[in-house]
Amino acid sequence: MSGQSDEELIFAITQGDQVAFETLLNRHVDALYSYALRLGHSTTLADDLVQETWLKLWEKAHTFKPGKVRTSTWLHRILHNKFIDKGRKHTELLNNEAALSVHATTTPQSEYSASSTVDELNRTLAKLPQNQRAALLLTHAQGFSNKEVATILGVGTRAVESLLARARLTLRNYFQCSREFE
Amino acid sequence: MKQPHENAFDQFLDELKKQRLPAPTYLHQRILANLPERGALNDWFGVFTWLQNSLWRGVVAMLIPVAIGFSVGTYIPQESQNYSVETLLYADHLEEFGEHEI
Repeated sequence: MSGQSDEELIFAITQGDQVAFETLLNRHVDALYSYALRLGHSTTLADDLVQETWLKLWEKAHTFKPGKVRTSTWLHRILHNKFIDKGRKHTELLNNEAALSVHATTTPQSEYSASSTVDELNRTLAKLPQNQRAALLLTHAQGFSNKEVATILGVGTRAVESLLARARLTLRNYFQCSREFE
Repeated sequence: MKQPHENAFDQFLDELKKQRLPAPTYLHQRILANLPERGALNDWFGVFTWLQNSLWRGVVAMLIPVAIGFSVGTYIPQESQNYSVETLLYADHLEEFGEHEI
């Protein structure tokens, strides 16, 4: 089962094959969790997003179009849409820099247990608006191409380039300011 | 030569790439434990939809203009040979009363 391609596993999942589901889960769950955690800054939120993404895969595997997008792109798109949906219900998750900064710095260790480097990364990422943060994470942390990022975010490739340029500029300015303070 | 803040930025991107945040084991178990049961009907429906997405949609799309062309092509010649009931009755009426001009 582990030698099968993602597309073969998804076809097996459409027929209710739980072993195929588990194989695909083991293959992609870490990348999804990593993205969800950095995007939302909360283990509770990341757990929910990842679980809902896999539940949707189980129920809607037949809607996957092999050859059009990679499985990882499709899964990240589902997760990102789930995040946006949750953001609509809890507006503080989206485009609220102040809320994100406060949330990231005041998150208890039990909530986000990791080294100080992770905390530092988390705090730095929180400086970015949600869409810029998503574009930066998908490109630099998850290793997607600009075209794939565009598919995941549901925007054009030019918009992704613009988001990345603005994210890099914001972070460069942030690092420059923090150096000047030191 | 790069400015110190440029180095910090590069280091940040590098850390972002290298750092792995694996999903906790309880999450694997939670996902697998909460999968809803799927009946045979759902499975067959899933396979049908899968086929429909990839193959049948194309076939149906090609058959639609063929079907329209066939039905129009068979209907029009039949229609042109038939006169309406009113026209036939009027022709009988004229014949009966000796008027031969329609």
